[in-house]
Amino acid sequence: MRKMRKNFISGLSLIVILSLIFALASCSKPTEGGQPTGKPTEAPSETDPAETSEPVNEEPVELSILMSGDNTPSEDNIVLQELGRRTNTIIKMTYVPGADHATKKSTLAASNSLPDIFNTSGDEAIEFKEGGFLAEVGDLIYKYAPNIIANIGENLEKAPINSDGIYLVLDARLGYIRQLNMRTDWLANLGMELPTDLDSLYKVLYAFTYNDPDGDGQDDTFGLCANTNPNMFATIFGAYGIPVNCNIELEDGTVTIWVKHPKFLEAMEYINKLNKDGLIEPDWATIPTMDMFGKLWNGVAGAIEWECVGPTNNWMPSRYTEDPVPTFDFPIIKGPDGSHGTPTTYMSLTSGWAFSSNCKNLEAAVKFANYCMSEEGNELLYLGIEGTMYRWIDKEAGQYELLGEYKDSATHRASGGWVYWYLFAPTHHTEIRTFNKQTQEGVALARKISIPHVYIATPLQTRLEYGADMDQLINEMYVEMLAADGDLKSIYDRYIGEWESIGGTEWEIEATKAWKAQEGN
Amino acid sequence: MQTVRKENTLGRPAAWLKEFLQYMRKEYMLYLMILPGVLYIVIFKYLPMYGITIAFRDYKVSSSLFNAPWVGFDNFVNLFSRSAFIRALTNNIFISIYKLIFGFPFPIILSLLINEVRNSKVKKFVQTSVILPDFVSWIVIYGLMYAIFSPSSGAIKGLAEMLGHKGKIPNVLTQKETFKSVIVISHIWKSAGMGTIVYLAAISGIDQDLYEAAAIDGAGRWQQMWHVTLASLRSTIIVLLFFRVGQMMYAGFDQIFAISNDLVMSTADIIDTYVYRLGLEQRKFSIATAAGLFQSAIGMALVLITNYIARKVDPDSAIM
Repeated sequence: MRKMRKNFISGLSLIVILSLIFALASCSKPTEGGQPTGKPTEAPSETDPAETSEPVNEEPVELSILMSGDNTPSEDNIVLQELGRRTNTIIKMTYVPGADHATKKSTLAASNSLPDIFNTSGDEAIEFKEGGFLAEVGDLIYKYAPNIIANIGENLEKAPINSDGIYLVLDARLGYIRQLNMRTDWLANLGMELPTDLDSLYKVLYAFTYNDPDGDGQDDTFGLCANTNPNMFATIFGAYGIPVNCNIELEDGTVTIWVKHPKFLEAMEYINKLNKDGLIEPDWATIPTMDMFGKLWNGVAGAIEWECVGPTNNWMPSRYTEDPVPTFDFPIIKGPDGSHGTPTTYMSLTSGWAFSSNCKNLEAAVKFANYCMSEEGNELLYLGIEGTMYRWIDKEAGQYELLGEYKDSATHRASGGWVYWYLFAPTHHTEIRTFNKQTQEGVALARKISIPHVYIATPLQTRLEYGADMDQLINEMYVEMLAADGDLKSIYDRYIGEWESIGGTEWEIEATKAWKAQEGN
Repeated sequence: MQTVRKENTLGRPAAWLKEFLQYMRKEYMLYLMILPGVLYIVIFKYLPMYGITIAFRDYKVSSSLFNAPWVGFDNFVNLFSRSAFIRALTNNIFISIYKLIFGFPFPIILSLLINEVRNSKVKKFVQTSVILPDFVSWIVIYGLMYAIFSPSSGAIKGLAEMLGHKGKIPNVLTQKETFKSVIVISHIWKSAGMGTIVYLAAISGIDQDLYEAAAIDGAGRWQQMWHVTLASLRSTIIVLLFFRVGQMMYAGFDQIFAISNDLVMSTADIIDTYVYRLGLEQRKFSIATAAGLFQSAIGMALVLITNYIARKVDPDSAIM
């Protein structure tokens, strides 16, 4: 009995001690990689070849990557497996919804466990660099990444964050520009032409809502898709000369936010009327993005403000449920003074891909990035595995067909197709190369009529300090004005007054100085 | 004189220590058994409290928790100078008070009603039905609310149209005037059932003789409920009130984060959602921690005040 008791006590003590050790080990900081230093953890090898697409007889290197998007790929899909095989890596991909991306990175940074490769931009990138979370990869890039050099070129060193070394591999692709995509089959049913100005746009949206454009005898359609994002009215704002969601320069040289454009109130009155008259998405304040798209796909909405890449290319024809599928065109809407277009996009100097200073094999990571930025790599990330998931019909013309089970777009996405394509995407990436003719023309048209705006590449202290509060206030003002029944000016004055007092005025001064310095004035 | 004192002071601890060691030798098994729990609390609850110090430091993601520079109360000054925080604090107080006033009595009333159901099968069915919503996440609940209130495809719109209504249906999810009610009602719907468990357990422990005695004295069902059931629940109600008051500064992050939108943010933004934006989206960890510490301090003060009042009114109900 005494022996049993002794054994019991010994066992219990052992459990307690093990628990304590385990708990303390869990709480302690990971020692791998050590403190971030901002320097590569390994010196580049002088003898390794620059080629990365050929599998080599070395042990595969494990690379962790964080990406975001609204797809649901399988965790270990065949595209990632193939990418790993071609780059001699084992890819540990963390794929999070776009809305959680920033918070995920913040929490990972706080626990010093950022993945080897992740994308970052603006203030966040600067904070990460200052915190020593980003590895400097200049030597490795110039030695092992000719595709990156070829695609990004001199911009790589122009980016303010890269002033003392390469910490950020800038996005090589130029962002698409929004435009109005309008159903021409509905216009034909109604005997109407594409609208050309704000009055005719109102008439078309009215007819789409109340004149049964699909001819089913039901009151089940509306004119224009919308949610709480002002971008959904980019063309209308553009007709008033306003580059929505971008910074502007006023006549006196002050740089400020887009809502302080002299014609903002006029534009809001027009949009407010569309809402009051029921011509836009009735659930705009609460509708999730995919549900909003669904209204277009299911023949409920007649127009959407989006890059035409979606409506006329990527969603065509598989997303649409009507037979025959809808047809679209891109009306140019001119305002009272002839203004038109939507905000242009510039080659980014502030966003891109970074390598964590905790990365154990930066050389392999840079080679991996170089492969992704190749034509072959980007084709794999966009279309999947050639011969298994797709085959080229005419590669020069960008025509391909999906094969077997991958003809189903959901299966294709679950297997990794169309999901990771923007990972170190080259400038002339596969999506662009495979556009249909209408989309090519639409993309070119949107760029041709796009509106220039103020683009400040340097981080501003006032944004770092008050950015969240200022942005929240502008969001609230915009939706309140959109939904308002009464006087818009009083709402505007109230919010702008508060915006200025919580840091807006201070930001305007700093932004104006930064812009003048950037422009060399 | 000094020598005598020295002997006494040296002698007392020795006796105390001897007594303690004797006691420990006798009861060491019990203490050994409690050790894992104590270690758990110390390691996972008390040691992390050191992190609170970043409320008084200029902490950045790059800094170490131990060497970030001290800044005194600067983070609190910064926090209270932000109008968005003051708005969140005000909303937080009002939403918490509404939830307390309307939400706290609801499980009590529900328990009393369930207790009056005589058919045991019906009673179990009702009990299970009211508890079920607690297991539904706020995201799903928002989905349900959207399906009910959507002005374009919601159930209410369908019903109104069926009854001949042709006009627009107001969206209660996007109106400042109605949104606080939406918060409180959905909170009650979700949590009231779970709240009844404790009360029903307490009711089941009430001596049945009390009811018989009351009935003999001529008390009806209503009087029995008031003078026996409710009176016997008094201590339970007060203890649960302590817990609820202690949580007053936490107005329901999950709920508000899931169901709010920019149109109602001015009435729905609470400290937790503000801290989320500031801390996790903008990485202002020090200011976010200051806000969290402020919440906790107010919560503790409220518990102490409630306890003090309870001790004055009914000493047996106080927890300290």
